[in-house]
Amino acid sequence: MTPGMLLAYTAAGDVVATLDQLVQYDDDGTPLGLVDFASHEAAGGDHTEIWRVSQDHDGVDEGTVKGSKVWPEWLGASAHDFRVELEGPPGAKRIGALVHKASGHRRERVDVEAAIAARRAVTPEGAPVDLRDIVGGPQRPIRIDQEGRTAPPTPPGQAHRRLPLVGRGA
Amino acid sequence: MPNAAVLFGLPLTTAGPYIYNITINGLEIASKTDLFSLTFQDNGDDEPGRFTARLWDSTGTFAVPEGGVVRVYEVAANEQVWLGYLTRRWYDRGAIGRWINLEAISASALLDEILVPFEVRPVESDQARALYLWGKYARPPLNPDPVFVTQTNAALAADTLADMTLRSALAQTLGLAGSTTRMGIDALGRLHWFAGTETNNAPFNVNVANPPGGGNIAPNDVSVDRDGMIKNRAYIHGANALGSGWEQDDASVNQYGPRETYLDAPSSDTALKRRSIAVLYFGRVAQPRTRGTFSTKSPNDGWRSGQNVVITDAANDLSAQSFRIARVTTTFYRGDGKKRYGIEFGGVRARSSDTVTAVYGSPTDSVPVAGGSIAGAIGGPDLSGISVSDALGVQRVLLGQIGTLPDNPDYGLKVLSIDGVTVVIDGSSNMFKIQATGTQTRAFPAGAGSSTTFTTINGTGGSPFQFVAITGTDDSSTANTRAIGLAQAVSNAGVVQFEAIGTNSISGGDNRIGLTAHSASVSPGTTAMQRWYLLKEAGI
Repeated sequence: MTPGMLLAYTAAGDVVATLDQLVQYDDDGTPLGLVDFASHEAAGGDHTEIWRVSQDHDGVDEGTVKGSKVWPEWLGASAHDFRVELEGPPGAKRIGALVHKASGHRRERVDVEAAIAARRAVTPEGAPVDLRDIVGGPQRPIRIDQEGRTAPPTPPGQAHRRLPLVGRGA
Repeated sequence: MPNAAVLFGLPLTTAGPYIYNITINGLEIASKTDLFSLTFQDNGDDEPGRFTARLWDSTGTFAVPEGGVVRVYEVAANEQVWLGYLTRRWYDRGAIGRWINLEAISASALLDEILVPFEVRPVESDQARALYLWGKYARPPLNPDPVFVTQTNAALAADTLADMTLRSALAQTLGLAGSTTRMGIDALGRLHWFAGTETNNAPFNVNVANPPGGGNIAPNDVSVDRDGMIKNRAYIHGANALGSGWEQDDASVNQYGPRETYLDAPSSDTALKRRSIAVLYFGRVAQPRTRGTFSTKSPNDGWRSGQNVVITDAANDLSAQSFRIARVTTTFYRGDGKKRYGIEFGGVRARSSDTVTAVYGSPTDSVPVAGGSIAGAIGGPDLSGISVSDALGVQRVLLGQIGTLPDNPDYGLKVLSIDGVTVVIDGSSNMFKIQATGTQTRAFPAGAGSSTTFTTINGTGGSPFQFVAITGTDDSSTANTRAIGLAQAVSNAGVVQFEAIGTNSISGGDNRIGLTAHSASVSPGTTAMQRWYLLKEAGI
């Protein structure tokens, strides 16, 4: 399980807000750490203890949006290109998949969790598990292409990679 | 046409042995040498000695090898007394034959002509390091014999020696070894490396009050000079921050008060080099220097540089004070080889001082790691900071005291990027921490109107967080609301057609970020979007 990011969605499942990270501080301003959204959700915690997302139109309050759930990947603003599909029993629902609104491509939670488990399996006991290429991170979202798939890493030799860099020669 | 008798005296023109053997590249020239032109300086300090002589070349065909090695050997003492190489020559022509005038410089001058390009040395004894440098770089006529190289420091700090002369490399090593370590080059070209003084007494004491004899001479020309120009605190201006800083000689400062100066040291790019430069400098100038001269002549022979002479001379406030002989200039005043000696004693030579931690604090030790290096230590005696340098010795990170007193007392973090851009987080300026970040979308209304998505973050307090750019002002009707972003589509006539506005306000005691999509008349058919950051202001 990763801390994940929070997605707020409308009744139609459209993502309208995300919360990529939240730092908790003590009373004197000392940072305590990143809030683990997934653990909070798994423990039955209410997301309104973290954030509230509401909408209005022409000054008329439309109330809070339909819901907020954790997604194990950091998608950045690309999350708004998806709608959520929930799974699980009432009271314990979670996002089972993200469906790309334009292409219909599905990002299945089971696939993400399987990739995480596979990476854990090949990581030596006690060593940190590097999941950055699988789930990204706060302020380091994974790249999503126009159809909602994970974009491959930028191949070497692309035009912008060949541009000279300051202090490193041509 | 000079007579041969004025050349080297009777013994040299007979079948008997010469008083002196003088050779150039092994070729004996004593029989050609004008004895009264012969002068050589036996030097015990850093200044190479000189040799001058003129030879009578009766046929005008004698070939002097360019740069030839000159040796002067005193037969009676069975000792080589001078070693060097030719630097100049010129001719005075006669009706037949010619005089060949020669000038040579002692072998120690080679220390200034041999370059040490790059050496990384581990922790080792000063003896090991000195012999490593000597064995690798010293070349003839310098002598590889290690017999006079002793250990004065068992664990010298690791060091990098780059782009310096052999003399500088040895001096830097000497500076690390300690304040009592000395070095010198003798008349056989051998390196002497020792602590304190070598056991090497002069053949006579000097006491002007006593009659000569009994191991004593009484020259009437003892001259003593005391140089009181003292420097004991210096700002070393090095190649970077770590190689720069204040250093001082504590003992001298305590005794004479601070005497400050400035040293430009472009080779100083580590704390270690900065320290070495400082201690070597203070070793020469942090205490008053006493130097002097006297002269004597045969039969009071046996004077050599490096000897320790005890001088008593009430007129010069000297009472049985021991000095090291820095230079002996030998000339001849009789054809049978009787000599006159000009003797210089005291002065300063390459040595270190007991410089302690920099005046205002600087990192000291350097430990090579993975091509780069880390200097300083957490909790170490030098609390000014830790620096990380890359494999080229360029400081990349400085954590600790990033400024120089008295103008900038700040502690902080300084990072130098590969392109030379420096990022500084100091202890005075505030910075922002990202407490939370997220995104919002809101579709533009179909007709004229505004739609907003709000995100309220719990626990963020009842005052607005700081933002990098605040483009609005307080509105009395909506207190604490600030616009933090505005994107407008404006017609050519200057009419706003639609716009997206990012705001921050307080709702229920928490920060609330809003994204309003406003259609002035019709919807553009798109969706407004923003990424927001809640920034928490915090001093470092």
